[in-house]
Amino acid sequence: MATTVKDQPIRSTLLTSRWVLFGALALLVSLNATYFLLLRPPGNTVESKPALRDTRVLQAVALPSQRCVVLTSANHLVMFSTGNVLNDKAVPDSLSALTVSPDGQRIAAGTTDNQVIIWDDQLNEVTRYKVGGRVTDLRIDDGGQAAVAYGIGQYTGRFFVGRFDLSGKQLFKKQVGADVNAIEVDGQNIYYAPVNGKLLALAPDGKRRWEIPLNAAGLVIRKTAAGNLLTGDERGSVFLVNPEGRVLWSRRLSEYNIRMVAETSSDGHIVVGDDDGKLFVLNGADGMTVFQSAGNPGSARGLVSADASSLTMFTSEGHWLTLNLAGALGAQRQGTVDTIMLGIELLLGVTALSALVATVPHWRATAVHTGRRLRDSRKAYLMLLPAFSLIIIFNYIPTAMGLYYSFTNFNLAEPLKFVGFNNFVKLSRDDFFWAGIGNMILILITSVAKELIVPLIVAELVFWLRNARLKYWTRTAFIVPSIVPGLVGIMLWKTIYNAHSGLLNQLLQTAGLGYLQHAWLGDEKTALWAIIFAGFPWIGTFAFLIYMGGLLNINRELFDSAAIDGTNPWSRFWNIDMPLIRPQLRLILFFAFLGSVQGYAGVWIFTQGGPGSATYVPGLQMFLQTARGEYGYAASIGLVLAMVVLAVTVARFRFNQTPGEA
Amino acid sequence: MARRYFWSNTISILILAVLLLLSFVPVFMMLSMSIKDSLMIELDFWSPPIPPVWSNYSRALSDLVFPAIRTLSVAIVSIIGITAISCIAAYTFARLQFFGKEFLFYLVIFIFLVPGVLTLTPSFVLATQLNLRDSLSGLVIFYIGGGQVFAIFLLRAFFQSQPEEMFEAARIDGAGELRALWSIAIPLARPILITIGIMNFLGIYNDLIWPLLMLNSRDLQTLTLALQNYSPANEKMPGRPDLGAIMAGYAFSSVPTLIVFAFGMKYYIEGLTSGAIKQ
Repeated sequence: MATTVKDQPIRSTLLTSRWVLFGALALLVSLNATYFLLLRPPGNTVESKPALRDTRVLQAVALPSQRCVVLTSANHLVMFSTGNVLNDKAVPDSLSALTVSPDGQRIAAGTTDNQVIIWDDQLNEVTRYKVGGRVTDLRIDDGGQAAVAYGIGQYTGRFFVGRFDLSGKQLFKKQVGADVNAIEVDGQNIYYAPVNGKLLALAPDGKRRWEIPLNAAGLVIRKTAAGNLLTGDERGSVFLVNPEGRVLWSRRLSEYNIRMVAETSSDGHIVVGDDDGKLFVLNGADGMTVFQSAGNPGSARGLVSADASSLTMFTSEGHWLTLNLAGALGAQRQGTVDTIMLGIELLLGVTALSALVATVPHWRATAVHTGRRLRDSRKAYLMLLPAFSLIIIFNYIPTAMGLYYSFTNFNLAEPLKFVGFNNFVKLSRDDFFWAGIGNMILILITSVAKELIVPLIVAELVFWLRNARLKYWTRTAFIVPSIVPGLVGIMLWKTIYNAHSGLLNQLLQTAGLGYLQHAWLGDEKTALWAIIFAGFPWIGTFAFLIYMGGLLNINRELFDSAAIDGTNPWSRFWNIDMPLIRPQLRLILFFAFLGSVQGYAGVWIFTQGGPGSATYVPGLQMFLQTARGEYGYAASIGLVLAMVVLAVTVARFRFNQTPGEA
Repeated sequence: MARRYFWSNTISILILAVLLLLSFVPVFMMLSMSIKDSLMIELDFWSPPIPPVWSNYSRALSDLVFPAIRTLSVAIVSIIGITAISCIAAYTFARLQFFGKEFLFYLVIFIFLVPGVLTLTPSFVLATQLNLRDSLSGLVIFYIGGGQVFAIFLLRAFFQSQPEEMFEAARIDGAGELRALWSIAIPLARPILITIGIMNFLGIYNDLIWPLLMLNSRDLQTLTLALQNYSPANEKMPGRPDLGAIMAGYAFSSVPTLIVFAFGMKYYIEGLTSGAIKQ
């Protein structure tokens, strides 16, 4: 009877929650159906497709009737028609810049051996002529004349902007102060961007009309339909400049080289590509970003076709990159819709999940029980909160950051980027790192000997002293030198090694061994050994006390029976003391290992790693790289060392758990 | 038989005496040079420090007293922070029953597996991002954060060994958990608290690498930073550092550790020799 009365309300909640579950699921399904059928644009906004393999593309230009031509790093000119290779022409010259005439009938390229070559639109050579230097960029104007930027050498200052007619006759040339990256013509005006980070305009007679500063060296200039100039620079900025040299707007878009700026033919939007494979669509009027896409295969090297619905670019990695314009322009609105969708779906999902839990009596009981236990534990959680906040912020977050940073290029000069295993590859080829590993191994071996053996001998001798008072005072006396702070101890040894007034050299002098005097820490041959020798006679207090503790813990009866058997001290040491203080030996061994792999403060104080790399250790390298702002590289050194430490730590715990081991 | 013991004992004493003497060499050198005229150190290294030149100490003191005060205040505030926060957490783990207790404790001791080399660089980046660099309080916050895990680990074991009946009685008398912690657990945990205090003091007092990264301003230098490039000019020998004053500075900076050892030596030695920290 009692059970049925009690079951009544539970049954009704079960029914309610079942309805809630079905309702939430139904809503979820219909919402998603609506979304995928109606609200989501078909296809991806940016799609890529490989076109050329095993070669890099330097530049791509559009030709009329769905054709384009690309210049590859292997000096091929490849012509495509509606996406298929029409003509692949190997050029014996080393080409440096590519352009096409406004009517699309002439293709022109500059070479590094001072020539301009012109082809017709079937890639048959029409003419070639000499200019006075390596061509860096060129353009052909409506009249078929070429504006060419060229120059000689790197530190000469002999850089020119010139204009040539169809036959190659030079119409004028103007010497400019610096190597020119990009050039553009508009009627008789010439615009160019040299490496000194400026944009300049020349009048038809070659006189300078104006110059304006960019944020960095300009890499590309394109005129717009309205007669303005678009330019992108090495630091990711894009400028729109009117023909009078007034900046209409400028936008910092990325940290990388801007290799492509182009106006879409239809609606005045601007498409920009950087060296990081990012693509931006900007509003032509104010330069505001309306769409952005990252992680594309290669940097866009030229807009090769544009129609009302899509843009196609060619990338440095030889891919087609097609941008769906409607998708790009609707991206912001779509983003809002997606966020709202996600919110609603999460809400419905949680509702459905809790309703589901409530439907199954067993689960429901567990959930209620867990909730109650969580509530009952409030006080404990509150008391743990301060410590856990600190542990999470200062232990867990740095650990996660360290793991992440070691796979990035994180430094102060470049933008943060995921680089996979690059740091580790670089590390494996780093001579300083391997020199450091060699030194570290030597320090490890010697410190094991130093910290394992000497304190053990002292502990044995002190332990077996027959006079209790003497024993007590000797033990205390051996601890006294460790009152000197660690840093001071090292500074004292540095003083001892001092070439002028150091104790060691003075001692040699007095002993008549003056010829052995040395700049102990300044000589590549002795520096590391001097650091290892420091602290002589190496009676580490910690190890000494640990051994003493181990010996004190041995059952006296063992010693007594050994004494009755007439065991001599030597065999007692090997047969009783050593086996029974093995845990202590292992502990000290472990600490010596940790100290050698992780300790670099001493080396820093003694020599800062020098002279050369004579005393470098990986930990020190990590510290120096951190101080220098090379965080990604430093973190990868840290990770390598951490893996070594972790492997030994885990091995130690496993080994200790083996049955039969003390 | 007795004769053999006599000889082996004598040889032991002799070896120990030699080793003891050798390990005191740097200390003797420091003390004798610290009361010697700097010119005499350079010209006649072996001359005895007679008469003692105490002005070395006044010079070193005037140079190093502020860095020393900074280091001591950083150490004291950090130790108070570490023990206060870790006591509460350790007590919670040792005395309270709650949901997820084991999991949360594993979360704490998992940090033992993370070597310090892994977190140095990211901690530095974190300090930059949290705007904690170049300030002593930033240094203190990192020491408090970094000292938690070991302190919780040691204190929890200690609190667990205390008999539950005492706490039961306190609760019956109406004491809250914090009251029981403050009035019963902490007073009884004095030895382990002193051990934790000493360990952290030595760690913070001797730390060079972290202050070196964190602090740039000269007027924030801690004692180790000031000492590692302490090189006052020698007025009598231009171009050479004043070795007497430097050694006096080293001796001066050993005073705080001397005091700590004098007070805490008993606990320190007991802690290490009792086998409490064996594995």
